[in-house]
Amino acid sequence: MLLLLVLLLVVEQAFAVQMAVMPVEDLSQGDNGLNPSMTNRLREVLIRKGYTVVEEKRIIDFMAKKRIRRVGSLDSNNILRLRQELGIEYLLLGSVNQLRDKEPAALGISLQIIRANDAKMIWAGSVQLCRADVRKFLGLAEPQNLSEVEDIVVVRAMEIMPHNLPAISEAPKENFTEEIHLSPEVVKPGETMRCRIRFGESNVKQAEVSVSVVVGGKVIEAVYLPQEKYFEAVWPATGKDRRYPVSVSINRGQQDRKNVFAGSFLVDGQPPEITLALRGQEMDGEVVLRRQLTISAVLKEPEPLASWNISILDGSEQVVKSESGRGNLPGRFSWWGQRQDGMLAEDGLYSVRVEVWDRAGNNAGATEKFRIVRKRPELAIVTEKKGGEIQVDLNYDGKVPLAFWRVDLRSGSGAILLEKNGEKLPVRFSVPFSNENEKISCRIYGQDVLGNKIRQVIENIVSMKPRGEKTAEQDEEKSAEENAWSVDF
Amino acid sequence: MVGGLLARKPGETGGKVFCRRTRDGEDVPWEKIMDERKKVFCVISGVTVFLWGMFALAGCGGQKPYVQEFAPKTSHEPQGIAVLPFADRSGYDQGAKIVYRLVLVELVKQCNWRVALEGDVFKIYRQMRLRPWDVPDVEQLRIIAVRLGVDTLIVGEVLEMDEKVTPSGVSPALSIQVRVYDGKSGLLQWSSLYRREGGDYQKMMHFGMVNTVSELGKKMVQEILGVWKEKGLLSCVDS
Repeated sequence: MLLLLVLLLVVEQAFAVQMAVMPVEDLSQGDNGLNPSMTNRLREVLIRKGYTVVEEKRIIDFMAKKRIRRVGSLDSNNILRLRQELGIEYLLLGSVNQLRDKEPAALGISLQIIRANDAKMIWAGSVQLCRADVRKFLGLAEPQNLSEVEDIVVVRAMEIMPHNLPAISEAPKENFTEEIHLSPEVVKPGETMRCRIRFGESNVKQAEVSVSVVVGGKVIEAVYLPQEKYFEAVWPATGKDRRYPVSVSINRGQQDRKNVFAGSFLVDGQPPEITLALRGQEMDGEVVLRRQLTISAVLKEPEPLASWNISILDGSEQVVKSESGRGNLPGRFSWWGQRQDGMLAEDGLYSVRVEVWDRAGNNAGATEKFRIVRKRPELAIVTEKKGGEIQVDLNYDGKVPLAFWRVDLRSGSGAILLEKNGEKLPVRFSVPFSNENEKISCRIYGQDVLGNKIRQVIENIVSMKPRGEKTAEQDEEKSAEENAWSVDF
Repeated sequence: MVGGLLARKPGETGGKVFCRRTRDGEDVPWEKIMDERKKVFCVISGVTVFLWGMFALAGCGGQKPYVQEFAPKTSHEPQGIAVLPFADRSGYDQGAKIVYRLVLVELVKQCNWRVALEGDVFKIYRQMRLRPWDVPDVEQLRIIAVRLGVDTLIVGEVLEMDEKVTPSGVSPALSIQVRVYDGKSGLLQWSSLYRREGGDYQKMMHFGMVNTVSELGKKMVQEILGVWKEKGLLSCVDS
């Protein structure tokens, strides 16, 4: 009797379906997270269902040997190798899509069963459960925590899993997707193109296979490189600037000929044409930077770019600021007049240069000049006492025209004695004064057409020396005023 | 209807009988008043049941996935389908991958379509130096289709994915866009846009309420595939 039981057990084991349970990916733990607990639960349940499940250590060893770093998915070639090395018939790939351990606890899993000999997904299912989904009379037999939710989810997953897996297909799949690398995507005329073809199956006999690459009607034979274990076709990219389709012809004898579209490459010998547009304030037909300069670089015929560089050069062609990037040009650049070290660039003539490289490496550039003007307008004030009044002359001899000016004179008590404003200078005006001890203060405001502003306060114009002669006291006053000046207010 | 006078059953107030008196001065007997009351009660009950039924139905019906067709309708049996990695615009951690896996599962479950393995798709993306969130151009789509041996490509985007856990319950929301391309030409054939919330499936009390984004995603993908089949855009494989 015992012998019969042992015999039955051995027979059952011999006919049991060989299944591999791959490590279950856990999306709740971020990219490439692992859930060993769910992996073990699935293994145990499958064993109870009568499957022969491959040992976990053998799966991990296989993954390490084949350098499979990602869990949750496996490509056809690796599935085939897994079948060859571990003798499995089916593969279970699982993923924990959602796991919430705070209330209400929730778990969502998806499972895929893949037939190993043709790498076909023959079944897939998903189960989701939240503790809030299960409401029973008086709360009886409701899951109380995540672990109990997990139990229910695994049971439900096994319920929806087919009891009898589809039979192994008669003709096992041998040739899986070839790896084809065509590079580069864009070339200059005359540069070398390469197409590499690697076969997925490990037992390919290169002598039995001939591989050729067809480009624009020309056939280029691919050579097998035993060390690299791939076929390679090399040819110079010649012909007019246009796109050339490439297909790979794989010949395994009269019966087995296959053409695969590998992609295309672009021959590009024309450098891109670029135009620059500077937007800022303008003066005498020249773009001027006071606060900000906007630079727009546009390709006449838009095409994808490999990289770009923008440089600001001073009058002696020294780079004061530079920036570069990969890919297409940004829509616009804004420069606030700061040098590479963060300090403000001095007033003067500058140029901006934008260079671009397209994907074939063709280079083009464009340069535009501009001027930096940040100097404040300087208004000169001269006083002269005549009889019972004081005469004030206000003058300006700067290069940048004034937009407006304003002057007000106030008595010692703060009462406004005179108020004047205008756009043009010089101007002369006078106010009466009775004695030398009287105090008359003067406030001058001005702004040039670029927006540079000046605000000057003279505490007492009565004590000013006539025709610009200054007392020591006035000099001190002036320096104090300069310190108090604000460039922008 | 019962008039201005209070109608009471005989004997309730010391045997004194109150009846309704009409404008003509006639007394309406007690039995007739009760008959009128029964009719009113039946009508109100009927209306209540009807409204409740309408609300219950509105919970499970109503919205359908929006489908925009770009190519002439050709009901074909796909030789193979590849689902390309979904792009995530929602900011939900692994949101694109969650929906991607659910689409894979439902494609295999709903019909016997041959669906390209996720590992093969990602391998070709690596070979073509495409990042998972990149949308391949027409030529790249053709190459992917040829190399995977499929004739239909599904590309998608997760536009919104959110799951608010409040003391009163969980409120998931999901919005996805799924586009279907022809593998031979690389051209867009049709596209679907769909947005749902967990509460949309509520029937009555807590029944039907969806409490997880993965459950919501599963239901939405099922509905999208259902509409595609209903419109004859995809047909199931017999074997």
